[in-house]
Amino acid sequence: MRDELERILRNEERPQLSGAFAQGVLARVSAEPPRAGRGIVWLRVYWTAAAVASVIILALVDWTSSGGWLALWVVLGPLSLAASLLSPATVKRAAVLLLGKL
Amino acid sequence: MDDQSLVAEFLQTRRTEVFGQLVERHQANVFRLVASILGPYSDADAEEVAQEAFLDAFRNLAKYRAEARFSTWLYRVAANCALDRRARARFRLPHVGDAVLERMAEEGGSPFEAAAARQVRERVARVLEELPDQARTLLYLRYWMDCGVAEIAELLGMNEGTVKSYLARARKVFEERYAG
Repeated sequence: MRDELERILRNEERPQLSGAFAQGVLARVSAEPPRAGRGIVWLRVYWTAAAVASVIILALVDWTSSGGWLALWVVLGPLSLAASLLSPATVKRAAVLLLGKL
Repeated sequence: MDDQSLVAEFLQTRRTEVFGQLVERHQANVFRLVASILGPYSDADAEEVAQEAFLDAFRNLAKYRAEARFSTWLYRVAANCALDRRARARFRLPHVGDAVLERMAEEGGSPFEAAAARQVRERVARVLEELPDQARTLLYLRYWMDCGVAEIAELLGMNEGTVKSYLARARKVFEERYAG
């Protein structure tokens, strides 16, 4: 069976690397967005912390007397969570859009 | 200029031409490794996965520590990309697909001989595809890609003695499963 295995595999067509392979890699590398700067990374850390804090506050808040705060956190909480999950570029774009509208 | 110096220069300048030199130098080996992990019976495109491997290396080059050779690190990145792609493809299509089996070239001789040969090839393909990743990759590298033991050792980051013993074990496992 060993001979058969060798014979079959040696007869299988081998894929060939195209001549434009390296150019294809470089084109994809050039299209890569620049790495997130330290400021953006810290911003994401802040958003994540804000999201966690909002969840804790929502759990501890006095539901009867803090309607305003509650409403604020209900809005801010999911927003922060969403921001922490989005890419830095999307957060930046959203921030610019929001600031532009204000 | 050696790999280490090119990596250092790229990290300093971020010039894509410098990274391009690393691609040119290692593309053939990365492609062979990726193709051997995906195998001849896989529908996945080896070239696309090899490109993804270089892209992954590009993104994570800052994490590369010069304690190991750059090629060893790069081949590990490529192997992970290919194994990941294979696992996802197997999740969608757990067996050798009918379309792939249809593509297998017919053997010569009488219709009966051709049918018998085709049955053997299909069975070999199925047994190979069910082997553990390492055993299957070793067999593909050795017999399909026609790599020497030294070459396989470099691609898989093993020494030659280990490759020889793993290869012998892979053949044994194949024979047992084929007979079983």
